[in-house]
Amino acid sequence: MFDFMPIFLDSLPMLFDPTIALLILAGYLVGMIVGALPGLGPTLAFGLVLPFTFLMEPIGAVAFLLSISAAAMYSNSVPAILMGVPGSTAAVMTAIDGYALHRQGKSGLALAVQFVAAAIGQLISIFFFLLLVIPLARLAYYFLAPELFAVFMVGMVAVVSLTGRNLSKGFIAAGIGLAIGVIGFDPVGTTVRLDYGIYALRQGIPVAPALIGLLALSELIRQSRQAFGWKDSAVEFDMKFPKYSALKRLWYPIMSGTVVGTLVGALPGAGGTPAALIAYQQAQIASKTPEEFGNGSIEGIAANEAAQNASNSGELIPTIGFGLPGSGSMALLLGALAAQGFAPGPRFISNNPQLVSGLVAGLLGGTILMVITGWYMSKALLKLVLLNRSAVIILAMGITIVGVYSLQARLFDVVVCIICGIVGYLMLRYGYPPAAAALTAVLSSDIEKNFRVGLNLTRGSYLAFVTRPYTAMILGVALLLAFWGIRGQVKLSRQARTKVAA
Amino acid sequence: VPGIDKDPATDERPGIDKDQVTDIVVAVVFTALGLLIAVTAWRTPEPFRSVDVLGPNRFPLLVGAGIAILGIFVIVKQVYLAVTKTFQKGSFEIPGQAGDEPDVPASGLRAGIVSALLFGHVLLWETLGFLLSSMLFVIVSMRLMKESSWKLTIGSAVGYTVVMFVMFTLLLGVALPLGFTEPIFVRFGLVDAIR
Repeated sequence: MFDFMPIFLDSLPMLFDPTIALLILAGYLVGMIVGALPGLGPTLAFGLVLPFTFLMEPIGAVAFLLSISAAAMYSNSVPAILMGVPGSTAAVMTAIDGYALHRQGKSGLALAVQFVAAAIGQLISIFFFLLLVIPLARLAYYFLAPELFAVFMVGMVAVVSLTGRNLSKGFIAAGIGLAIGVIGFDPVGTTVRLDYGIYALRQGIPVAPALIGLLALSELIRQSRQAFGWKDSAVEFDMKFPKYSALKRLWYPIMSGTVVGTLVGALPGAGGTPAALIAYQQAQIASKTPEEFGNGSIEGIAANEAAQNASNSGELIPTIGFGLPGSGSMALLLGALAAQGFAPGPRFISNNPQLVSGLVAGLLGGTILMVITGWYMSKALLKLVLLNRSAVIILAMGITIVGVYSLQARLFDVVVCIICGIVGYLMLRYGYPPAAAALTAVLSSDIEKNFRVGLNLTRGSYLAFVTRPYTAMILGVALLLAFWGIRGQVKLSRQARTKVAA
Repeated sequence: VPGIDKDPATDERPGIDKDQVTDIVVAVVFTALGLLIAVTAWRTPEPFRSVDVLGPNRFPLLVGAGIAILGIFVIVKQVYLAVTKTFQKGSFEIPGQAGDEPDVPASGLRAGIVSALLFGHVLLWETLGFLLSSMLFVIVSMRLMKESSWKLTIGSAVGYTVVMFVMFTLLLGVALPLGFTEPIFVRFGLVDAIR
């Protein structure tokens, strides 16, 4: 039960290591800035900085990345409250309730609720993460190729919950991710296949540039559709921290938001947005004043914010426990770890406890910085949002490209990144979820490898995938999740639409 | 930028929506990609193997065929929709689409041109060099994004290029291509000759 303590305790001295502390601070600033810019979330931030992490020590790199996600999930709500524009989709409900409060002149209250809920949600969820991930990882000790294949199938099912309302398009997106993995290189026979005579393709399509293209560049290209001219809108508001009595009734929504956020975040493919929406709904059901929801409910903001930040820890559970990225940013985290020479997967925790401490240090450090400076950052962040967006978008494109080039100094990587960026843009615009493609692109070669090695292990018996107890169990979970995912996704997207429309 | 941003008010005749057509074109492209992979995997001869049950071509075949079949399904559905139903211009909604922010002019053409510029400027790195080609990219793209201040545009272009160059090439040792400007930097000892 308490075997997570050593990992947690090991993370504390890391906070005082000058290099790691500096990286956490840098991550915090990057996360704050990128999170606050409308439309840009932690995934894009990860995509931007990923190439730089290859230059860092692995522990510092993971602390840096997690500090980004802690900060981004806080800062995306600042423009949501003060301008009604969520920094990323997870803050949609905060945008509705928070902006309503802002227009009622209660900006200080909304910002304070957001600040408190985000900090508490983030802190508590770190312990949930450790509590859940270690038993899971221990289970993985019994896994052979067929079981691993089953685990990766669970990850594939994640795709279902990312598909949105058009299942066939969702699966096409997943297929494109798999295709990125199959081109060029056979992971079992280590022979060349499908290289189409292009020499550079013989090693396969490089995963990190492809991911950065699909997840980060695609979003930037999409933003370049619009010519923003927000420079002139001035925003004035009062910022006074409310008394404790005003925040007293928030305990329940914050706590339930934290639990829901961690658990939903842990479901592969779910991530911050559904976590926040479900927590919001849960808080509304439990609230004594459900009619306030949608018109400036502080309970709603609290639940949403706690869940958003808790999902940071939740998403790490499948990512670190099994090597299954639950979201776009987690796919990039796995990419960063893989490039550092770590194989995320069932044995990751037992082999690299210090890296898990690094993850915890990042989340913890980011949260501590948020507690100290977050309140004062709000005003500065608002200035940043009003900054010239055209310049931000174009320069971010440039930085992404140079970053990808710096990976191996190969123009081929940059070409892959831009092509994937354009494909990702088309996917964003025409209802194919690029996150699904990114997810399967990460998993593709592992799925194929474990399926084929498993098949060789059982001498060609497909039946063994159902009769081996763990395999059957995990595949059963995958089926359940698929069912839950299809149902939940349809329901949630419908709700979100009516709420936004209203 | 004249010609890119249309006034939505004057652009509302019924008929097939432009988005509807592109939706089908995108599905056709993805289907073709699936077919290409499936057919290549199908036609690749199986290598000799002793224990590998499936071989290297079955999984790609499955993936390609899956994309193609679903793609054909999407195409048929969308074509059927386009033939049987008329949409008011701009009212065609694509489920799951990442929509534009309201009240801000949007244009797919601009996104296309910016992507093309991004691609083009990278191809020019080896001849023009990173410095010049990136500055050009930033200036042209920011003008396309309707940035009206020349001061900011040129400032961003120069600032970005110089910071990237100093950080990557001078500090981190990543050799960004310098093209024809390379001899100048070599002359002043900033970078090593032909790496």
